[in-house]
This record gives sequence, structure tokens and C-alpha cells, in this order.
Amino acid sequence: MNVTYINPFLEALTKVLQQFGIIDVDIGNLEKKERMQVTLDVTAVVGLVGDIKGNVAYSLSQDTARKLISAMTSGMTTVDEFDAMARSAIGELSNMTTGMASILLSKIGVNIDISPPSIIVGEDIYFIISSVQSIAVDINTPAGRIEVNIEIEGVA
Amino acid sequence: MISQQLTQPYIASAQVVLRDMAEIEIEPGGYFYPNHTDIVSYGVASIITFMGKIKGRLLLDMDPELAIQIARNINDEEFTNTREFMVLTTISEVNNVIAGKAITNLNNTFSLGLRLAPPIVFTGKKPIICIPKISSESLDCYTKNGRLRINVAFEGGAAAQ
Repeated sequence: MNVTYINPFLEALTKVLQQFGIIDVDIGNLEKKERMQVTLDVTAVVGLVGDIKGNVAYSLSQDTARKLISAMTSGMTTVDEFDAMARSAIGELSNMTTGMASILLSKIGVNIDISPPSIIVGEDIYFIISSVQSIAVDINTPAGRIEVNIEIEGVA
Repeated sequence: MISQQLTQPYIASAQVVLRDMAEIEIEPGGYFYPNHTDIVSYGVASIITFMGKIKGRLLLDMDPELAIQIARNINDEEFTNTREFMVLTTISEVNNVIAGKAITNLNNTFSLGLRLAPPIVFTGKKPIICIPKISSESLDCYTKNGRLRINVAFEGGAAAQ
């Protein structure tokens, strides 16, 4: 899979996190995955349709999600329970990130439309987001680890 | 409330596809009802999103026994665990065919220009599924092998054109 299509998602996530004051973001190595098994308990999935077609999944622990939501609200919100509002906030984070990635992709001539995010919460969830290989990248932040899985079909 | 004109193609498509591909008859247990809460999965779920003049999602959620039976019937092979690759990819492909047939119907009827993203499929310990700020409606269906929930969501509740 061409990294040209991967980098905009990583750049977008870095920029969105920076908007919320999370500056020290470390992007790990790209790893090819046949299957996606997630040990982190919150995953937001966004569908992509247009010049390219696929899915992007952002996975994180509830503890990381709580810290991110606190950062998103400038520390005004403390999340004790991972309730509907918290899930909505993580949905918004994935929406902002993928939306920004779609803008970055359009600058290199790749136009996509993004779906509303679906949030899946639970322990030891085993996913298949692709009938082909996906690319996994660990993003380490002061709030915790975010695992990004990107699957784009029909791209060499 | 989502127009019945938008939800009906999904149940019609699910009935035909599961009968033709997997020889499984599904019995709707009533009508689509609005979902105001998150969905706790029966065990195996597949989500496919679609975009065009409107955006939305089809969720198929089923008991593990039903997922395994669908995979057995389609592949003519024995499976025992929902984490087996062929079980999950079969459910994913079934969802793809059901959604494809339904959006073809919607595109032909309402010129919505809908296109599908690839399906995702997952299994786990009672995963909770939510799609924030979007209206969704569910239809509970029954089969000899277990329950099937068909959940359709449209951004903004999408009244039919």
C-alpha cells in the first residue's frame, strides 16, 4: 500500500491532537497486518469512499480516551464513566481527524468522502476491517497509545 | 424517524440474500423501531457504511451460532469458532451483498448516488456499538439458528426524497 495515502491520516491526527494541547506525539513504524486484533477497548471506525475506498480505525484504551476528552475540553471535563457523551467525544475526534486527512488527500489530488464514525467498545475485540492487508501504526502520546489501522482497497 | 422507504430495501435484500446464498430463512419479528440507546452486540457484527447524497450505515448483528451456520452453508465446511477467518469474512461478504443490493434499489428509486465503503466485521465479549448523533432503527429477526438484528442508520434521520 502506498504511504502517500497513509501519511495524511497520521499528519491529521498529529495536528488534531496538537489543537488540544497534546504536542509530544511520536509516530511509530508502519506495520503490515493480515488481521486486526485489538486489545484496546475503544475503537472508532470511519469509512472512506471516493478516488480511494477503505476504512480507518482508531483504537485506544478507556483511560487514554478519558485523558483525550479532558484535553479536548481544556481540562473542564473529567470523565468518570465512559458513557454516551464520552463515546460521542471520541467519535468527534475520529471525525475531525479523518476530515482533516480528506483535506490533505485532496491537496494531492485524491478526493474522498467520509462516513459518520461508528464507535465499538468492549474487551478483546477481534476485527477484520479488510479483505486485504491493512497498515497499523502506533501513535504514542502523553495521554497514551492510539493504534491507527488503515485499509485502502485497490491501491498498490 | 427514518422513512420506511429507506429501511425496507435492507430487510427485503437480507431475506433474499440469506435465502439464496445461505439457505437461511429469516422471520422479521415486527417492524423497524427507533434505537435510542447503544446496541449491545449478540456476538458477531458487521458494519458497512454508505455515502452519496445522504450518509448512513447498515449493521448486521447476530448470535454466534447463526454466524457459524451461515459460514457452514455458504462454504460447505465445518466451523466451530466465530474467530475463524472464514466465518468472519463470510459474514462480511454477506453484509456487502445485502447492502449492495439495497443501495442499488435506493439509487434506482431515489437517485441517491450511494456508494459503499468496504465492510468491517468483529466479534468479542458483548461489544457495545454506537454511532453518535445519528438516528438509527432496528428490526429484530429470528432464524432456526439464532437471532439477527438489522440496524439501519441515516445521518439526520434522512426523509425519503
